[in-house]
Amino acid sequence: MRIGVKAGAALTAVLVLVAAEPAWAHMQFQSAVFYGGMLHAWITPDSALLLVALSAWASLATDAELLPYVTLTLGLTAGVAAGLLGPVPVFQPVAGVVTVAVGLLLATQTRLSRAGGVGVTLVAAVVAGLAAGADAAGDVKESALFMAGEAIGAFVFPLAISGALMDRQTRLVVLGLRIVGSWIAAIGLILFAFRLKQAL
Amino acid sequence: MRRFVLAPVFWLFPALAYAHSAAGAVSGFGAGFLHPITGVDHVLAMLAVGLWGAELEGKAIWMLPITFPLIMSLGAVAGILGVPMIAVEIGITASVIVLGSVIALNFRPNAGVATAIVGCFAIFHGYAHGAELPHQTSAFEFCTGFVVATGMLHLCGIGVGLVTHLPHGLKVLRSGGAAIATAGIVLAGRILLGN
Repeated sequence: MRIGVKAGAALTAVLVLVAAEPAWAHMQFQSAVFYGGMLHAWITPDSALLLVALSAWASLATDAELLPYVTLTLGLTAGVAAGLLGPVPVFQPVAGVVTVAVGLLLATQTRLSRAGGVGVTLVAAVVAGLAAGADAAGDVKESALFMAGEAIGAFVFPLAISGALMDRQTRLVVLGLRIVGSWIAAIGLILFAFRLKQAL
Repeated sequence: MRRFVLAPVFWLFPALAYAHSAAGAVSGFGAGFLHPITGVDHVLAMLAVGLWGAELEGKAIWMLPITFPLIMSLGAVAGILGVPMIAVEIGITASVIVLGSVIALNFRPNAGVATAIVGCFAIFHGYAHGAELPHQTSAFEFCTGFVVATGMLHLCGIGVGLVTHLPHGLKVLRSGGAAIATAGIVLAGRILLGN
């Protein structure tokens, strides 16, 4: 199954290269909406933190398979769709808690069981999707292209990050991942405090 | 190893480009990023955390730099929310003296004790960053900036600390620790003299 992830990472690289080909200045509006959707969750701070942590954490899986990435895609897409409908009560403090949890999993290099990993990925992806969906601009909210872009971005970018890290778990890379995980957890903690203060 | 030592130095260079960046999102992050770097007490303490981790090796090399930001973020939240805390400057200066001294003395507790020592000081550093949050700046972006800058200073410390793998490297590292502790004593003197 490891070959599957590697092939997926290679496919991702090709897709990104192809997607980068059109000149942005000359794109039609609909293409811009699609690419905007693809990048949206990755440039919204709340969701980007979670997605980077999840993608890096997925690279720790010993039995590499595509299930976490499919779960992430479905969760993120569902979250974005829910987020577009309107604000979800008490969601924002929860986002902080989930960010801390995923950051800590990465910092401590914790590997969970298959079910545990899928569960954490699903919850975190939905939360990241809610953050990204709530932040989407009004003119793209009803666009299927935007959602398609979100879904494809949710699949290919984590796969690219994980694929790049998966076979390179050297001491230095592991140290880097631990440190980045602690940064994400620390930022999530601050985020949680702010959101909680706002909610109360 | 050479690449490992140089990489954190290059990571700091993007700060030079801030003069050309747009205001708004970047200014919050930029202000936060520069906050630990522009305070000599913060810089010395953060470098010392990395140096001590490299000196201790084993688990400590990653436990210290991952614990510090987590505990520091608690202090930052307290500072931003205005929770009263006494002797913040003294705590920060003490961190410079203590962390410099443990490097100089080659004090080698187990990783848990070392983490606890570093964690205690992290509260003061975080509080100072949080309490000095500029007005009209996104708190989230500012905090992200100082967390990342702090972590990069740790990485610089770890990178420099790898000098221990060279002949006489431990002596060089311990001398560096002594220099940091001395600088901390000077800073403490300035605080006591009100300057």
